[in-house]
Amino acid sequence: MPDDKELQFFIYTALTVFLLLVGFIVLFIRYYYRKQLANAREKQTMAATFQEELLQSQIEIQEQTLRNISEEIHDNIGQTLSLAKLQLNTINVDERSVEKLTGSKALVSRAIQDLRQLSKNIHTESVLGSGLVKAIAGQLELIERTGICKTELTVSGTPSDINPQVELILFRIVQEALNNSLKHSAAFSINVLIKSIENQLYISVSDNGKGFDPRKNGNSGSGLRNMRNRTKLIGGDLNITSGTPGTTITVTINNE
Amino acid sequence: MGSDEIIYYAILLAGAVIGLTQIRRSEEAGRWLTVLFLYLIVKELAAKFCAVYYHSNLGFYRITGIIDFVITTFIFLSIPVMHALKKVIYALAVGVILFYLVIIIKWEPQKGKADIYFELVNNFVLVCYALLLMKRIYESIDEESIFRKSAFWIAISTLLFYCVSIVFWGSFNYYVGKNSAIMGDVLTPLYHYANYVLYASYAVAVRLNNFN
Repeated sequence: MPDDKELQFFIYTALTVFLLLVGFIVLFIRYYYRKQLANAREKQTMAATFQEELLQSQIEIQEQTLRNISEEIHDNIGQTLSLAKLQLNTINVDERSVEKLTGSKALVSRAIQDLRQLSKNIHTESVLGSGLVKAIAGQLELIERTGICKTELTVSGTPSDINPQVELILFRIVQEALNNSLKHSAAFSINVLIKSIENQLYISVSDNGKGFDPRKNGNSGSGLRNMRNRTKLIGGDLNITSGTPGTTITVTINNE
Repeated sequence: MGSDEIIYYAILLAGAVIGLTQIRRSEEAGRWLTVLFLYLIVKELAAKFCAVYYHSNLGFYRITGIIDFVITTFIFLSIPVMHALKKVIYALAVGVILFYLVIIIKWEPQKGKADIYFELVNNFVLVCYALLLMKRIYESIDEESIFRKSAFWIAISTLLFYCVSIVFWGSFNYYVGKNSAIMGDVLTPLYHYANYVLYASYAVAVRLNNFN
């Protein structure tokens, strides 16, 4: 082969080998980054699953604690108070003490009634048994009875086929929102809206109180954090808007 | 001293200086790379001395070839991801050393011809090291960018250089025998450039000092 043809052949061969090598390295880097990305995604999914499981167990523990307290109230304190009421009924007193005794009986009766209601509120089965709408209506009725503020419940559409666990979590979120309104907002009116459209369920709790800055206080309280965690657990969205007057907390979930 | 040599010495010197300045915090592989840079400087100066006084340094390179290989083997062995493949590396290295001994004892190179057999076997094994290292890098993936990993720079530069080196030594005696211009005009410069890339990448690896 003449030298220039040989040179040409050599250069082409060397170039091909070189390009193959560079191609191999480029492919290696590409596959490396692809695998790295897949690993990162897997890690993220694992972290999210872990977080979800953690939240689930926290909520289960909370519910278990509430159930225990409820049973304790019903079986122990309730019984003791009932016994105290019975004993009060058997006491014979003079006319001067009748008034005091009647007052004491009324107080014990009231305590028994309140404890029963409290036991009912925090007992999981009791909430699940009556259904979400009824359970929320019961909560609003309790607030009304205190005379602190007026309440209104609006139900639009029929929220059906909600998983009982989701129902319980939604109830706890509403309970927390109502508690916050009563404790911090100084509101004289609370409105709850339950709206079900196709596969979506919206629940909003609005008050006409003094409001707060969600950017400043949104992450500080355990109540708000609980609401966020619970919403996250059921794959929903929690939206808080607050101004003067009033705060609205909206939970939206896909009920499929 | 030609410009090629100046570039070559500059790269070796840079690698040695980088290695020496961070020797205390260097990982084991980084220390072996520094040893390689220092050894190469001494070796090239000695080879130059042989060329001037004995008019040939082929014999010198025949002896030092195995030292280059052994140091490179230690570099690969000291990279943490390669620890899982220690036995494979040892087996390959022992094979190359035995082959070298056979060549040295039994085979007398013809005058003016290079001892290409050892170079080819040695280069082939080093390409295997590089591919094994790439495999291990891929298997032990983490969140860090691949360009921040010393092992990556060592693997790709070793792969590139020793592939070029196989082509160089594979055709060396043929083109030298034919007195072809390809050797002087194409192969030798190509070999030199690949050599610069190899040691510049090794210097980057020392500088990064991130062999995990």
